[in-house]
Amino acid sequence: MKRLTDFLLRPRPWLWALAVGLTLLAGFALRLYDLTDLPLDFAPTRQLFSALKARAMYYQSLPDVDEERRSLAIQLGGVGNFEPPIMETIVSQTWRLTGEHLWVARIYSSLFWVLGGLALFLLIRELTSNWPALVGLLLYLFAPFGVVASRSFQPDPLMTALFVFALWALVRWQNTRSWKWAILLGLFGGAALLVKNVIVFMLGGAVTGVVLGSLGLKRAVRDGQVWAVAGLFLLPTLVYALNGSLSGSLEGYFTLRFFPNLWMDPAFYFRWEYVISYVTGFGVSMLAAMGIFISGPKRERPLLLGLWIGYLLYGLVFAYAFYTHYYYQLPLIPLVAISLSVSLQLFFERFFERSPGLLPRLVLIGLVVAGTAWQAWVARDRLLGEYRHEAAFWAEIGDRLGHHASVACLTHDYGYRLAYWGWQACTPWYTSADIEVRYQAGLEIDYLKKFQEDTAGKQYFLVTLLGEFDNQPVIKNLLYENYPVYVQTDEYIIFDLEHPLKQP
Amino acid sequence: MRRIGPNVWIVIFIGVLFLAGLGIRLYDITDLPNDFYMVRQYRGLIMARALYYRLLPQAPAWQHQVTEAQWEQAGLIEPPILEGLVAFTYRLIGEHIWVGRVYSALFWLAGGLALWLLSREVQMRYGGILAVLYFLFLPFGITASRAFLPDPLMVALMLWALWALYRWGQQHTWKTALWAGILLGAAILVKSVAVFMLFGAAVGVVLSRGPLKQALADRQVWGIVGLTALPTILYYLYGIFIVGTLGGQFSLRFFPALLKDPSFYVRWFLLAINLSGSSAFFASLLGVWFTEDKSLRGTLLGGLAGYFFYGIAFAYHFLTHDYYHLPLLGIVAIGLMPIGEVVLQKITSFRPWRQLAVALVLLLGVAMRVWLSRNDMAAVDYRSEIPYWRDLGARIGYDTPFIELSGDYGSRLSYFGWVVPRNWPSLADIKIRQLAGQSPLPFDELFREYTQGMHLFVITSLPELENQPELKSYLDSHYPLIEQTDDYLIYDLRQ
Repeated sequence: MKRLTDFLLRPRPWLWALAVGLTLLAGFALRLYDLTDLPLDFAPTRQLFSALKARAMYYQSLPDVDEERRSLAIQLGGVGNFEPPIMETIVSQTWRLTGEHLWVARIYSSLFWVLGGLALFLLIRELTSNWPALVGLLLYLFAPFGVVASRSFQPDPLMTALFVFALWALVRWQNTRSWKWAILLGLFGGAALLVKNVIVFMLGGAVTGVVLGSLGLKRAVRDGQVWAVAGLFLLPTLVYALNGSLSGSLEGYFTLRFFPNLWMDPAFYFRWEYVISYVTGFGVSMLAAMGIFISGPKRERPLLLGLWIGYLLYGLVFAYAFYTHYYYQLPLIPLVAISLSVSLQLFFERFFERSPGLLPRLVLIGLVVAGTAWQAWVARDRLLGEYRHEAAFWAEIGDRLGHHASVACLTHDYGYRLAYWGWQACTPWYTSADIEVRYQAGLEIDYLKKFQEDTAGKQYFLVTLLGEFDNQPVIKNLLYENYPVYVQTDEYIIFDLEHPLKQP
Repeated sequence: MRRIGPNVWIVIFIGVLFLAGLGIRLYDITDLPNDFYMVRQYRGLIMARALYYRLLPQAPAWQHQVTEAQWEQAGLIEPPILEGLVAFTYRLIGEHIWVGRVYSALFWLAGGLALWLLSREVQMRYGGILAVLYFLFLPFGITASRAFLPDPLMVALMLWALWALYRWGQQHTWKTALWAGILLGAAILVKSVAVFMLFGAAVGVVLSRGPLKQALADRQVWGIVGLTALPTILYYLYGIFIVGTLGGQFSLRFFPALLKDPSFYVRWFLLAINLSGSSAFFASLLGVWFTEDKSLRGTLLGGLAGYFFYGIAFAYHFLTHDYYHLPLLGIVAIGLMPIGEVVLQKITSFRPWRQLAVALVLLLGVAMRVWLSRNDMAAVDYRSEIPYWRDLGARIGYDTPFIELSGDYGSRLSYFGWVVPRNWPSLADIKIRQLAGQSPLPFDELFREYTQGMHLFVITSLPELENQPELKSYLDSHYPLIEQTDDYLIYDLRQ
């Protein structure tokens, strides 16, 4: 029996490779669940923003397409520029082979995220050992929020994956101080920053922490590798930003982003904590925070401190978005996984020390599998939404409006659903959330005047957010009292602005 | 100046946790107990009031009549220990709806104290901090532990019993055996379902000391068994043979059909994780392997096995009544001790500022949890319901025989309206009877049986009436609707 136990417990590196491979595959497979449903389950505005841009690119290069359709697609895709359209380019190029399918983006995002998981495993293993690395990987791949968010059509999954690769390279560089890892760090970090520059806080924090922890300021300033990394980090983003500034395409990027007044409001921090608990779980996030204190002062702590300080700065700078736009929290998942690994290392050391036999190991594996299955089940539940019927709904409204009409709207996702499936543009009127964000920013707006400006020269006013319409009685009364209803169903109302009942 | 030792700091820290735990449980305590299993809580309130009025001979006769009728209707399930305590308190300070909740909260904190003492017994003080943190601040625990139910007291006594059992396992003296027997018996007397976890844990502790044969020959074991069983046996003999109402508590409890359904186990598993917190649940299960203390390991494994059999025995209620899972929180908390010991003990080697930082992180986490629970409590206010039920009760009249279709078994109308409704079965009641294999009566017969001697049919849950179209059409076609508002309907069954 003992010989059998010894045989079974003998270390086998290939077994770890197999476990990691299977875990990555399972994580990818889970993200393919209900793949073809419309991307309205998570951050629909952001996803449709990318979808409209990708479609515009696709139609630009699509041969044998009706010119009117092509020009409409390009017009509707002109939704603005925030980040370089990397995901949109990849997706639109794939559509040339597969045809236009929104789920293509999900596959790419999922793939990027899962590949990031490999880097995460290698990074945590570098810091600790195989078991904490595997549990960290499981958290990264199966945390229900992460499953839903990491398959969305937006730059964040790719940004986070590249960020994890950069962190892996950073730790390898810390341990080897070789040019190879410095360059890889620069390339991965530069790519992550280019994909979405908000990662600068956490990436900058991590690099600063490690550089100061391992070299100190004086030596760092004189270190060629540090300068090379900094150069590689900044170059792509600077080129993109310079180009955007010159062409004016990045205009408006920084408006309504910064809300220092929230820092003084205790409720902001409680909301923030709530979001953290939602993303990774309260117990896990607490244990991760403890990791900072348990970690070794030279080996892990500079990295963890830098990452957490970066995360705090990130949250303070994007205070409002941090609790309203949950996808801002995606980098938190690898951060928690890495921080957790320090406590996990301690945990596994004691576990194997006190329970060295086969049975405890089997129980451990059973519990890890059960925990993962539970997470996967919860994630699956969140992926279960059914949105396919919406395409026909928006197409119907688009047909009613005629696709070329001049429309103002109080509608879902700033009119992006109407634009994508209804092929109809509209000028969005403020929702309560839009009014709130402007209030938070200290902007004083005469909303009645703004409404008159927004509807001037428009043919129709479309309402699909009926609850929101009820919340704005002044606008509701103004429309009902002054304009005839062109179409009204249980789900939408279209007012005819061209034939007012009386002059408002 | 003398330096304060680490033990003092730990005690101060624990003291802060208990104060915070009490504070959050007392928040908004004067609101009505509609937030958590109100039927069961109003049952407690009705029984406490009935006992109180027995101590209040000067109250009007009609009130005595109503409270006695309500006591009869409530029937006996567990011994009304909490209700009696509340009634005596009413006698001192007057009748207040929050008294029962304050007692429950205090009992729960007492359970936390037992956890802390147990952690000292097992030489895991640092693990004890984690266990107390978990036990006092888990959101589900906060809500459930301030409910007017016997369960918080049962869980608290269960933890005290486990503490005593562990001490007996270590010391093996008649004194510790006596304490173990008394506390085990008290916990099971408060609510007999504690027997599953306690029996499991006791078997675990006994077997950790030696083989079964040795245990069977141990007179202290038999002493503990006798003390444990005696109060409950006496109570059941009294309830079944003297009062005669206790036998009814076993009906509609056992659903063997569910045990054959694999989805039952999945739902149970998911519910247990959700209620106890996923990280804590899994960490606690691993805690079994983190301790070399056989007695603690026996307690944990036995307690978990007991919880499993408890779920098998009360399968239906396990899925529908969250508070049935409260004992799990105690077991999970104990399971966290070995894990907490590993992590928190590491911190003792840190410099003071790092120890302080860890304490602050923990306190920050507690503050966040407390704040979330506080928000949930502050979000609702049920006080405005009182005049509605009081006025409806007055319109019906305390001595009018009537039947009610409600969403709460008539509990709020009974309590605030001072009436004694007979309850028409809800759709859920009908389904549970079907699940138990009972065949439904034909509607005419059912209606006749339930409404015999009744003057009015009062409907206070209109959605429930929509769920029973046969009843609706029968009432509409046979009886005049004498009163109708947006909230209730009254049919006159005499015409």
